[in-house]
Amino acid sequence: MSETTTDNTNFRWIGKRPVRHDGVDKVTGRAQYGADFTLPGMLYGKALRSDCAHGIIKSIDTSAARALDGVKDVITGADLPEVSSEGQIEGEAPASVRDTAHNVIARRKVHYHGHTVAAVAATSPSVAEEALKLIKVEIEALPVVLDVMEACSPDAPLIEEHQHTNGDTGSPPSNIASTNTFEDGDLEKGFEAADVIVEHEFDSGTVHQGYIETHACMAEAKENGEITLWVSSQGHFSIRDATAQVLAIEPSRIKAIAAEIGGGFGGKTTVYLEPLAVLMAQRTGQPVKMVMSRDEVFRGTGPAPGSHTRIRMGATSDGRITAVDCDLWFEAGGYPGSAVGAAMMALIAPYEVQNFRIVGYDVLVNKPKSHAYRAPGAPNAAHASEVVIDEICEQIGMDPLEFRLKNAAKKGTKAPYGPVFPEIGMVETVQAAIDHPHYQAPLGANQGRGVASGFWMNGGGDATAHLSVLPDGKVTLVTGRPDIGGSRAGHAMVAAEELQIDVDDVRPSIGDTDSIGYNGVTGGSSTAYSAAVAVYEAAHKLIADAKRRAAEIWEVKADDVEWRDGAAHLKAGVNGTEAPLSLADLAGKASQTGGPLAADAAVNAKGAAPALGTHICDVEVDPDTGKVDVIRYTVVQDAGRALHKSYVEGQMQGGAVQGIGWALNEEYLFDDNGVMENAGFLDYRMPVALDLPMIDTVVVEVPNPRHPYGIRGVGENAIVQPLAAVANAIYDAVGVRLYEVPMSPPKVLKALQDAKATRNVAANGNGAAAQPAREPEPVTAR
Amino acid sequence: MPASTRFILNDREVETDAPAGLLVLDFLREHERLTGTKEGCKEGDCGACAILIGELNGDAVRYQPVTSCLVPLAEVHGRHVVTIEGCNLAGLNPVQEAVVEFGGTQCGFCTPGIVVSLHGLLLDNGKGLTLDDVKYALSGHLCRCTGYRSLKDCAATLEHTLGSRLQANGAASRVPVLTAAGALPEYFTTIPERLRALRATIHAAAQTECGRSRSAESASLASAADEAAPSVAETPSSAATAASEVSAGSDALAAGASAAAPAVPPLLIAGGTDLYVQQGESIPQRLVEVLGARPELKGIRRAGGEFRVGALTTFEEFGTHPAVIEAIPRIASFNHLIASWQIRNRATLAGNIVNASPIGDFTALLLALDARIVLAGGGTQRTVPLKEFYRGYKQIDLRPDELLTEVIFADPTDARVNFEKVSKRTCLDIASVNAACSIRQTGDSIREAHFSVGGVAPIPLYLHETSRALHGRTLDLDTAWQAVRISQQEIAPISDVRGSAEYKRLLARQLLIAHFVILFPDRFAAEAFYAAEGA
Repeated sequence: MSETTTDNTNFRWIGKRPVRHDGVDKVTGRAQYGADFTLPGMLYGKALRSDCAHGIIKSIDTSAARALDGVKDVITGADLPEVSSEGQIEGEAPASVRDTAHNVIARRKVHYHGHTVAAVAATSPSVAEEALKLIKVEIEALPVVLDVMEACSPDAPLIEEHQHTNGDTGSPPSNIASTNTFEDGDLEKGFEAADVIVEHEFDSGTVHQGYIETHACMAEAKENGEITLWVSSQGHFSIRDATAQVLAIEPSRIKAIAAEIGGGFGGKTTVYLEPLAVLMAQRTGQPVKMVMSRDEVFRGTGPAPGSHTRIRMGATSDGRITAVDCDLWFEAGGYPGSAVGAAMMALIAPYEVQNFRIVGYDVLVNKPKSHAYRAPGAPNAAHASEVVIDEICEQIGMDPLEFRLKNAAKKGTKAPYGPVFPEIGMVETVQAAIDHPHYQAPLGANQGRGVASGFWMNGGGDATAHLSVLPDGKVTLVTGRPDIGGSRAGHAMVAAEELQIDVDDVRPSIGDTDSIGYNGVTGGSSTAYSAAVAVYEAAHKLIADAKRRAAEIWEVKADDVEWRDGAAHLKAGVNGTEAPLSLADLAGKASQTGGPLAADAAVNAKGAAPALGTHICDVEVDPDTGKVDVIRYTVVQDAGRALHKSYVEGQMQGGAVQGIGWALNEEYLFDDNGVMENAGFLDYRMPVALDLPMIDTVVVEVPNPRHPYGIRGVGENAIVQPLAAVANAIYDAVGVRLYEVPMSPPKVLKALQDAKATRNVAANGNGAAAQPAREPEPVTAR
Repeated sequence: MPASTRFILNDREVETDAPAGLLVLDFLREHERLTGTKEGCKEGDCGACAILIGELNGDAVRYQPVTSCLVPLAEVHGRHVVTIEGCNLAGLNPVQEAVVEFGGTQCGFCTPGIVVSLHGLLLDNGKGLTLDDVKYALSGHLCRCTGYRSLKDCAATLEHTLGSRLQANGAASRVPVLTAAGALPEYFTTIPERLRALRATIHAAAQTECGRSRSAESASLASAADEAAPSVAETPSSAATAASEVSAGSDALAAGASAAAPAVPPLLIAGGTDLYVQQGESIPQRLVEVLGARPELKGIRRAGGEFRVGALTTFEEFGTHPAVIEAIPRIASFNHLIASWQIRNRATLAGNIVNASPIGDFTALLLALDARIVLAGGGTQRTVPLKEFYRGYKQIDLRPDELLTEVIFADPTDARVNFEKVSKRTCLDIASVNAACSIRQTGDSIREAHFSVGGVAPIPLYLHETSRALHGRTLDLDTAWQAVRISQQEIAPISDVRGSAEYKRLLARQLLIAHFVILFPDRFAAEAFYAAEGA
């Protein structure tokens, strides 16, 4: 079961487990997601996707499609304005407006298989599908580059012919869009001080966020130019802005309404369909709905980048890290903007390291443009650092958690990316892991245990909140960041906590872009944190106003009034026998006391504090088939203060399981032409319930001093550790190290066979006998 | 005009002229605006579109969860369709309450399907509410948010609130208990009566229609109506997807389905779980016949030392049938490796066989049972050994006018039967390699042996040489190793997304060994087996 390290008895709601406000709609099927909206006269939009992974568009003939009965519009890249490369699109993975626009619909070139080249709007989905088949696209195919290291080679096919690394036109064009370095201390001296140095290269496959709801939106354009956009996203404000930027129209013309979102994990923080739907709605005068198929989601939306990492780490025999030297090459996909920067930040952030050099490369390959996925980049990075630490521990004979404790970053440690850490929970989570019964539990044959720690910086940002008191004393709470993990309930708890009312008397909702001030995206583990600040401030404004009104009614000074149990009371010691005034009482007298009782807050929440976590993983390896089963798993994570205990645990469990899927099975498989071969859930294998043990959680609470309750973001951290934790557990179980994820059955079995062959060779003293055959990765067509 | 489809949708009767091959999912969302049923993949892999299909079974209605993204509309003719909206009461029912209470819904997109499948579990007389029951009930559902912990936590609560009442229920249906417990809306109690009335109406209409014209479709509907209580058979199937076009006519275009006999034969749909994945977009435009409406193609009969299984028997019907369980005691554990509960409720033996996937799970099992299949049509009927049915990749010995009607195999009570499958996921996965065998002994001597391996050849592979070589041999390590060695020469795996050729070859070897170790634990310890390698 779950545990926690502090108690929350002083709170009315914070840290408790009330039932979520959106729960009823979700379990009854009433919640409306992106594809659930319909308008009279609505058209169905569909995108035509490139069947070539890299090439120059010579011509697109849409005449036959236009002539098909029921087709109302056909558009290509030529129908969209050309936009400058100067502008940036904000969000969880910022990208230039030009790149985003070209990713939405190709202009001169296609950069990956599945790149949209045209779109149609028709009276039914089947007519739209039929129309797609009638569009003739002529593409001059160019050589394809899929491997990140091959793409770095000077003679690799260039995906952007005029791209120079870091914009340096003095260097030859390159697929390396940018490179950046973090360094400090003296690397050479650091390695000289080391008693043991471990160096390895690591690979991670390209993986997808795997949200179950595909991308979907509906657009309506009025004659006066006003546009309404219903969209399932992690930030309808940024979708509004990006759509406007891609179409070169004013954001003020678009009202974006947030649908419920069926999972995003970072992947729904940019535009794919929205500009196309809006444009076709404008051109036809009819509403246009666009819904992706699962196949389109895999082929056309941003996966998490695959990566290659080389890391060298030195440590003393008493377990101090002395130096880290690391290069990370990340697949950006068809356009620049991988998560390599965040990976560099997270790589060794759990530790105090004096001497390091971390270099990141953002590299174009002919794959879909990568996008954010839960703690973007950090799992790839921690995969390398945490496995290398495990090897160092083995070599120096130290318990891996003791090692982590010894090197733990803490308050005052300078982060590798510059700032000095505030209070962070690395020591506390490692200690909680050491103290957990799981860490000492016995293991059986072919079973092993691995641990890993991980870091995520967390974010804050713009958030607004509006509180309004209803005639019956209940309160509506409008915020503006889509609720992806239970934030609505959490924010209602904040309002209820401060107003000292029942949490069920708060009715939270997500406002559209016209009804509330700007909000950042639900990403970066920022929403529970930042909007909670806004709600907190709005609640205190409301209380101040309510007290003022009570004072006016009672004809006392505002200072003589206190707010308690959801009502204004005369302070003890103040003369008078006035009965308390509840929110309902005050609402009844609102017009006489200054108008409707409501309050707003708009904040830029700073002071988000990093999240640290440590995982313990037990696996059992089937030596006959290479199949690995996770048989026990414990997530220990610092939540600062758990706002809603169950939903914090839910984030930890869900993140860990996504990481387990990544560690064991999930990956994009491409053929030599860059065509994805497993673009469906049947062959892109995400875990099902039977694949997993009960994920245990320990919520550690090291309060964030810069938040009213001490909250830290919790959503992302738990995906960082599993790659390494599982790899370390496999080693513990069967004595083979794997440096490539996913550690799917073929790879594990191959590693086991190779190890066996090597042992036999060693035993026989005959090196020629058993040269293990390289197991080719399965990439050919079925 | 094609005959209309009539069924009970939640609490109301629906009659529609929508195409017979239209997916129930699309019908629900587009025609009925019941958007609680979600589309996540349209391949039967995610379960967001799960619904219950209820069918009269004697006096009661038998409900099964299925993925509505693979079910043709005609399949629900005369049946009860339950969507999430049809599970709702004025307040939350115990399933919904448990899901909310334990945080089992985060983004909520997969939730309606999961709630529906859990209702399917409550309604299934053969199932309990243990953690395992819940896990298997959710085998066809992907949830990307929760990590499943919170959903599994629901099991204990459901067991606590409803378990004893369901256990004490001796009636054929759990509906009365569940409605009394507030776990199902009251209208469920009226469904058996209403379904009987509906089927009578359909029957009468079909008789009239038959008098005027005899389209394949109306005839089949009539025969469906004739059989008010289809036999409760149990069926198996194979890989995560199975079932397919059972007769040729693969180029059949619906061409408006005139009242006269159609110029092109209809597309025959068994379970549809592979067919819709392969050809889903085109099917609504085509003339289709749903074979599930032909009760004579269902049912399991055990007599004269053999099993005769209707070709349209589903995997789940087969795997849970008492006679099958008696003859193959480990069938339930095999079934759990195959597809998901939601897919097994649709996928049929015939579909799996005719689909001819080299990796069909059920086909591998049936090959190892040395099954024969009955092919009928064009005025002839012939019986073909399954091991001779496959001619090449997706090439089968079936004439366009023939239908696979029955699967026959010798009663395996006297045999030891094993099925093994290696895939990345525990369930809901296509195997990299699967393997099955049956071995009959007389004392220490092998009287008869049949081995099959899937995923290592263009066809579902019966290991002729291996099987033959073991006849009359003494069951010892030497013989077992010989089987392994011969089998390695019979297979020809290729590399694909499910594994490289070398990996599959290695797996085939390991699975052959596993058969002996598992079936004869007293004779073959794994260590000894490996120690004897090369001896």
